[in-house]
Amino acid sequence: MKKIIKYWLFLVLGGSIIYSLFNYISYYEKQQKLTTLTTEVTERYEQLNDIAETILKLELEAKEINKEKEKQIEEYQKWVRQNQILEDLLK
Amino acid sequence: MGKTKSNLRGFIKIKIKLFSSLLIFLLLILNACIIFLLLNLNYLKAYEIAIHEQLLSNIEDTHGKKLQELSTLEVKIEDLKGLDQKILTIKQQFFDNALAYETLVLQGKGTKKIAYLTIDDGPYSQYTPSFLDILDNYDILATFFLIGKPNPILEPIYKRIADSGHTIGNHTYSHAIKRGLYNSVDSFINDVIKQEKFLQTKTGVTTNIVRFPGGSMTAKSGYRTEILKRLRTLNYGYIDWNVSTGDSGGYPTPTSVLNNVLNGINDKKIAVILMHDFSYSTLLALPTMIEELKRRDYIFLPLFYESAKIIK
Repeated sequence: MKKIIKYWLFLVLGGSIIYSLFNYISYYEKQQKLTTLTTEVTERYEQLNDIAETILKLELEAKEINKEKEKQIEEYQKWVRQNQILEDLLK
Repeated sequence: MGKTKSNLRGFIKIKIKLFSSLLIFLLLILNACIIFLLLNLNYLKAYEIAIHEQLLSNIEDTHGKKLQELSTLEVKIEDLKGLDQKILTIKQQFFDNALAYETLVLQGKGTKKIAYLTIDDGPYSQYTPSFLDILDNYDILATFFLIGKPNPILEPIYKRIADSGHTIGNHTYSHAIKRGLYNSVDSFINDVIKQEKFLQTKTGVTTNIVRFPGGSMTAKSGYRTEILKRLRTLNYGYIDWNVSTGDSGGYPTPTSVLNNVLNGINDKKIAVILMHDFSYSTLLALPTMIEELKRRDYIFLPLFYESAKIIK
């Protein structure tokens, strides 16, 4: 009887070691995935920062050009309006 | 002795069995702890992965939006940089459409009639800016037949007329009807050329429409034909008017100016209206004139070289 208990204990121990090994493998894989994800997040974040910086620069450039060409923009819009009147009449 | 040895062996055997059972039990407990720890760590890592995946997805979303923003901005900047070309294109389109519509009107097909407002003899520092304000308020383009006035005060007004998109016509430099302008063909042509150079300096505009000071009939008939020939070789067309405000002489009032236009227009399909920006009465009458002409189904266009009204 004692022997059967002992065998069962061995079996349970073996099973639990295998189970913990699986858990460790799963943990290891998760850790690897997390490392990859963290690297990806960092890279993407840096890219995002670069884009945000470029956008900022372009926004400034657009603002400057806008200011520079304010009169021309008005002039263009005026011609568009005038042309639209004729387009409507020609329809 | 033998019995004692056998007892000792039995005792050791029991001890070993007990110890091994205890060891297995302890190992089991230890392993259970390890499993518990690993399960927790796995749960924690899975949570961290989920958070990172969510973060990455958010970054991807923002990334997409930012890229969109970037391309919109790049297009906007390209558009702004190419504005000169776009203005030229839309202007060309406008004048092509103006010609097409004028042709329709002349064939009696257009739903609206055309009024060309022509403003002569300017600019004047006193009233021209107000004329321009009114035209701006009504979003109307007109034609200014300008003469040469080298007064620095007038420089911004020349520039404003050009920048506002109004057509600029050549009305000679001197406008000296009684001081030799029509004395010879050369005196007239030289005056036109002088004004062309002057206008190019002040506005950057090259003109191709001339209005004779006082109208084309003011030129002596002998010279007139020759002047027209010379103007044609210089690629100029000319235009008179078929409606007058009557604001250049006598004592015009806003009412007389308005009546002259409304009586003179007489439902003309294409009206070329003469007015002067030195006249305060015309300035006062202008808003009512525009509104009344609009009510009578007129649209306002600036003159252009290809117009049938320009004699070439």
